[in-house]
Amino acid sequence: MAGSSSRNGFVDGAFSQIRFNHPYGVVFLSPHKLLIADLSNHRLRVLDLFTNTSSSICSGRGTSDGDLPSCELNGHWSLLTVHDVIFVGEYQRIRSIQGKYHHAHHQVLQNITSVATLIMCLVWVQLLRGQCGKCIDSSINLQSMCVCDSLTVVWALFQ
Amino acid sequence: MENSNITTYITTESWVYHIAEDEFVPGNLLFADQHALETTDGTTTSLIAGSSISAGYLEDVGSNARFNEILSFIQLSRTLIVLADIDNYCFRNIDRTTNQTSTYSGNCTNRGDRDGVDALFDGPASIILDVKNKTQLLIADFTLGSLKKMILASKHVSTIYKDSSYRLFALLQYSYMGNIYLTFSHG
Repeated sequence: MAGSSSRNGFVDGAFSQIRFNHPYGVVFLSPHKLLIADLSNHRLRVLDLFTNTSSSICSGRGTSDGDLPSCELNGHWSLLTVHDVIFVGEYQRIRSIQGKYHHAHHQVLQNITSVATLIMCLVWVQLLRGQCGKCIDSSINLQSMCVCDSLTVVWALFQ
Repeated sequence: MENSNITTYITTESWVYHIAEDEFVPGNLLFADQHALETTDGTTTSLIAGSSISAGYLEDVGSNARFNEILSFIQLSRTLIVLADIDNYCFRNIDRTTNQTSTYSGNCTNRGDRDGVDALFDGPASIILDVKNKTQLLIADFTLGSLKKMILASKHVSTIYKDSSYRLFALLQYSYMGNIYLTFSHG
């Protein structure tokens, strides 16, 4: 899908061009965005399955905490998302990325074609009181699935 | 990810190969600390089984048990965890009520590539529930380059796909749309 199994390296961009160096953990940030622990590049890679392009977070080896995107990683292997927190399993530590990665969901919401889906999102948001959740309208194309929260639904209503 | 930051949640002894939300202790994170399984609330970390600094193979209770690189695990129920013990070539399980370990599938002292109810593995690296068919598990074998399935009721294993040139099938993830995503490198 992306990268080359025979050539290591670091290149961001189109899936046909990008290179990884020992990718391990992989989680979904949203239905169309994968986050990958690119171990030997000391980066977290974000793969957008709609645009077929990649981008990166963090760019160096180390254990210093700090602001994204210019952060350090050290032997990061595993990933977990819990609501709006990303946990990164590294060598001798687990770190957390708190934050506003909700913009990852916006593009999915652009694809909502059903009012019913949007209503389901709103109900879901009410239930979860602003936490991230998945909402599915099974009567329409699966690409209309959305991940919604208070920020993204408000954004969608204004489209 | 602007306006975000990365902060140390906890320090561990060794490699954190896998993290999940703890189903036995809600609110905790359950994680593999190289050769040990541990749980943390962000302040206190407790050992469930194994030793983060001592590898080996031993079926026993809690800190007396030994693993050799726990690359991933799955919580089949609140009290039953199945772990991919890659350098012991087998899947192990832990009963959370007693912290007793036992062999789940494969032979922990004999590597191989054999399907069936008496399966052998060479590098069991990743295990997930098949969300399309919840009566079975999906398994990635790092060394064989194999994606296999295991029927939960019978533990019958069969190979879905194999390409031994891809020796490094690592962790896999199911999408909401039913696609399986694997990370791997060339052998």
